[in-house]
Amino acid sequence: MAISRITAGVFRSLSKDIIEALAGIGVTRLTSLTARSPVVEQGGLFGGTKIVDDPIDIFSFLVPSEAADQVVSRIVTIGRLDLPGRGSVSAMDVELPHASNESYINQVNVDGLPVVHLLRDVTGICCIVQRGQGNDVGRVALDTGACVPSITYGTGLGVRDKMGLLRIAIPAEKELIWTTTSSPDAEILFNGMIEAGQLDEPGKGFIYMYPLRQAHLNMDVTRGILHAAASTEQIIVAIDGILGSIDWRQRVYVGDADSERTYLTDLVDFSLICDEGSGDELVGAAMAAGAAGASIAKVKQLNLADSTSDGRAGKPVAREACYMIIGKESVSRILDALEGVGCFNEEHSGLVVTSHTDRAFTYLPPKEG
Amino acid sequence: MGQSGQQSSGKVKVTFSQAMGMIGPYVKDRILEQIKAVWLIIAYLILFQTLVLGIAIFEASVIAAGIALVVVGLTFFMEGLVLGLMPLGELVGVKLPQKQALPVMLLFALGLGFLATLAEPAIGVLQQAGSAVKAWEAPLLFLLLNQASDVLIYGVGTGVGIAVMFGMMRFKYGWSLKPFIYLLVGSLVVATAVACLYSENFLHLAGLAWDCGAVTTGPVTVPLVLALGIGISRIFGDADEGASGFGVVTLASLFPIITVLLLGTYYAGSVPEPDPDPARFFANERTAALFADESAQLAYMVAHTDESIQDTYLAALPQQSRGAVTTEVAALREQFSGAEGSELGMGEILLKNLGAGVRAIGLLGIPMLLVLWLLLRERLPRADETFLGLAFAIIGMAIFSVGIELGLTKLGDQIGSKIPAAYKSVQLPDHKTVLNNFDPDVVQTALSAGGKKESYFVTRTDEHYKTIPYHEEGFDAERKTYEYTPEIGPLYGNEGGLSGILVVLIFAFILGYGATLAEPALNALGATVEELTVGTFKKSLLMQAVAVGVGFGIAFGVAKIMFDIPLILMCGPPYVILLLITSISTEEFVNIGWDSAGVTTGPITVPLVLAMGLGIGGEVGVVEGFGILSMASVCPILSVLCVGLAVSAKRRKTLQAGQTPSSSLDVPAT
Repeated sequence: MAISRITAGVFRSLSKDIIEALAGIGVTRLTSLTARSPVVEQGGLFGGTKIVDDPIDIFSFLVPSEAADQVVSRIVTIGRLDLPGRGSVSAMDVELPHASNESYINQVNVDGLPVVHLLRDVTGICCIVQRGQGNDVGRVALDTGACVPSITYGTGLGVRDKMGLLRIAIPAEKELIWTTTSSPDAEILFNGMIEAGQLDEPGKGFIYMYPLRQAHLNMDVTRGILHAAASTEQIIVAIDGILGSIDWRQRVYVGDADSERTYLTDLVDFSLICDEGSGDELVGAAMAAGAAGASIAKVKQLNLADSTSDGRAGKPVAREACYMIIGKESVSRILDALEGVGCFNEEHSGLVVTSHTDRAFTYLPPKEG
Repeated sequence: MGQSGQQSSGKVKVTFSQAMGMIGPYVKDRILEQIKAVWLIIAYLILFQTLVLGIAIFEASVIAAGIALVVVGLTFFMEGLVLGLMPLGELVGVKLPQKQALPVMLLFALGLGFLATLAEPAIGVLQQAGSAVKAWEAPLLFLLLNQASDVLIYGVGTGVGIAVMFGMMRFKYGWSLKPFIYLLVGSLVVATAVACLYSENFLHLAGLAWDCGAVTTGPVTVPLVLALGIGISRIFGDADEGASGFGVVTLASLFPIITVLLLGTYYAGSVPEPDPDPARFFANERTAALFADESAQLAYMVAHTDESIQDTYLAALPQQSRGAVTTEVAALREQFSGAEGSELGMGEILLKNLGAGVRAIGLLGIPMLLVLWLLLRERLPRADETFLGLAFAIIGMAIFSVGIELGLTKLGDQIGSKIPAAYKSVQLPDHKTVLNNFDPDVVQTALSAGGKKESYFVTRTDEHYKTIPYHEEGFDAERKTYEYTPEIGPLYGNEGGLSGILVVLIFAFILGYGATLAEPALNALGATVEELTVGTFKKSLLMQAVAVGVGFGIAFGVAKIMFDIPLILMCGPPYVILLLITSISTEEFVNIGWDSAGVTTGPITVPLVLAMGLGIGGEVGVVEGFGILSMASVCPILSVLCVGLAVSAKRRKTLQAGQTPSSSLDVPAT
């Protein structure tokens, strides 16, 4: 069965409605992550622009792929995400490599629900940088008008943890910048973010992009006094709808990729969600089996209905999401290693979701010899 | 993270120079951060004294060294919080509710709150605030600060313990903080008012009770309790609240008020009423309850009253005991006339503060570790880091406290005693001047408006001629020297004039503002808020809001002392406004706002504010310096809640702005 992961980032005050609506169509298990979304605000002391951060919640959950269109549409409709600046939602194809995780797929009932206009040729980009650099990198998405980024906090695990106590000198706090944009824009955005984050220098961060099935974007990158009947973003969305594509928006020729940079390919996005406090140990096992490191974010798993099998009904559970980008060939080895330390037992209640990664970039030390 | 196939297992070898290359920037960043926190208040104090008051700083080099120690100490301490104490608290908070039943959790909370009070006894601060209190002016207050000070600590500890307990229950059941605030603040205000009407003793105790709450939540307790709360609410937390984990500090500020008032009620029957006549007061039978024994009472009387009062007291004694008591009083008089307060040596100061650091971190850290190991049977992840953090915290606390004692308190005392010079004349005992070759012939006589004769002489200093009042005791006929204490002021306007008072209030505002920005507990709270809201509630915004609030609070508090306004009049109206604003604020801001009030009165603000309060209080002759700290707690809640209302309103507007009629929903899917 094909599975899709739905990810919705919505303004905090809409969260309640969205959760209710999802419970209404049969979603029982979803994770929630606190995030902020920066937008450019016009005005301020000297009439310039400044970045303001709004609180948002990012919900993600698994559904059968054939229901993805309707579920995404449902969120757009309930949250009125068609209005600028309220949130974005996307779906991507994922796999569940461990059989025990199938209970995490939400068997939703979407019969007869309408499908709204959604963008199809879309790409997600995730960039991990040191804490404090998030808005610098996120600003690229705003300035290019690509989309409104979502920024979350996390901690990094990697080389740092092999240094003994000296590790305290290297900050582990990271910011993760998530953007969803049309694929042609993604090329420009990907390179822009690399430059803004100086990711070609050692220790600055990591970036990767992945294909999405469909998405509804939040394009309201600026906020200020509106003088027109419709905002530019609304006009763009309307033309997208009429033309049925976003190719007309392409501004830069992106034929050949930047030949200067060596991208990492053949990678898999390996996300492990486990109970609070288990992350360190499980990532340690994964690193011993070939993962280079991980970014860990604290998330909350909401159990919406009483029908879940493991007796965790009703109560939210503190969980940790460990994001790892690994080579395709390591997946099974890492999975075995996690199995070996009891990742999928009740003690950790691990959930592993893998998905395709188009390409990634980070500083690579020059090869010796 | 990332590169496939490029992993290595085991430890990474780092050469010495590489290690130094990493530690260098790490240390530099941390120190710069603390310098950024304290520079404002220090530069301000120095500039104010030298430029505005025009007095050179006494013992400048010691103070400079003290300030350097404050910076180094804060650096260690904050790093210790981040590495050791807060992760430990959060871990226990996450694990405890998962592995233990509610009664165990509540018992743990009670114990933790109690220990926190023992670990960071604010009693020293309160005793200092009440040091000017005379036994006969406020007997109940005097009893609780001296003879019954242990009972007071236990009482406050129990209050904090109950508060932490209720805090945990709140997290578990998702109770709102608002009803607690309405109920506690409302009933406490009424109870305080009734008690004050009932007995004059309570009028003075009320200040102590309300300050107790604010002072008990120190720089170790706050971060630990916050981390614990955040851990617990991650297990229970409500989905739609961004600020769960806060609120315990608020309760820990309010519950001790109850326990202190209860203690007061318990002791009220056995202590005498305030008596303006000390001789009659010491003759009162109930007065004995205030002192350990009769000789302690006599010693206190001799140390704090005039001989005439003592003689009146002796004269009133029954015949048979008068003789023995008279000899004892005479001996005590002898003893006190010779004794001068001895200064502590550098080593003793260091040792004392190291002891305090070990006690604070030990009393809170060790029980946490024991609970983790024995009760929860959990391993400590990154144990080396935690222990290093705890060590940093102890070292930091010790260095930091030494620095405060040597630098900040000294600086604060100097300015505090001189700040009244802005509106009235003040003596400068640090700047005693000796004139050589003094000839009494230069002394002249002046006539005051009332017809009283006064002696003065004229001296020349730095191109200026200055008149100086002449007092015979300053003249040493043998050495032909005249020693006098110079006076300055009023620097602005007339004696007691409005412009001078305004200068003092502005000074108080900036003092409160700057000191608050340097408070470690507030820095920890701000960082936690920023972390939990993923940067939507910036630490700097919170700190600015709190600092402005404290600034106003301290200015109001100083006004209270200068004009001797009763505490209930001063605190009543702000609390009423506060309750109104609380009712219309979101739960998130109510929690953060009320919590920030509890953390403002920390190790930097308190000595500076008390020094100023006592300095001004001493000049205008009020009973106690209490109340400034309560004011410094009320006002920041107001300012944070106002900021919260503004932010919420803006967010609502943003969402509404998006709700213009338009829809692309009817475009069919392609």
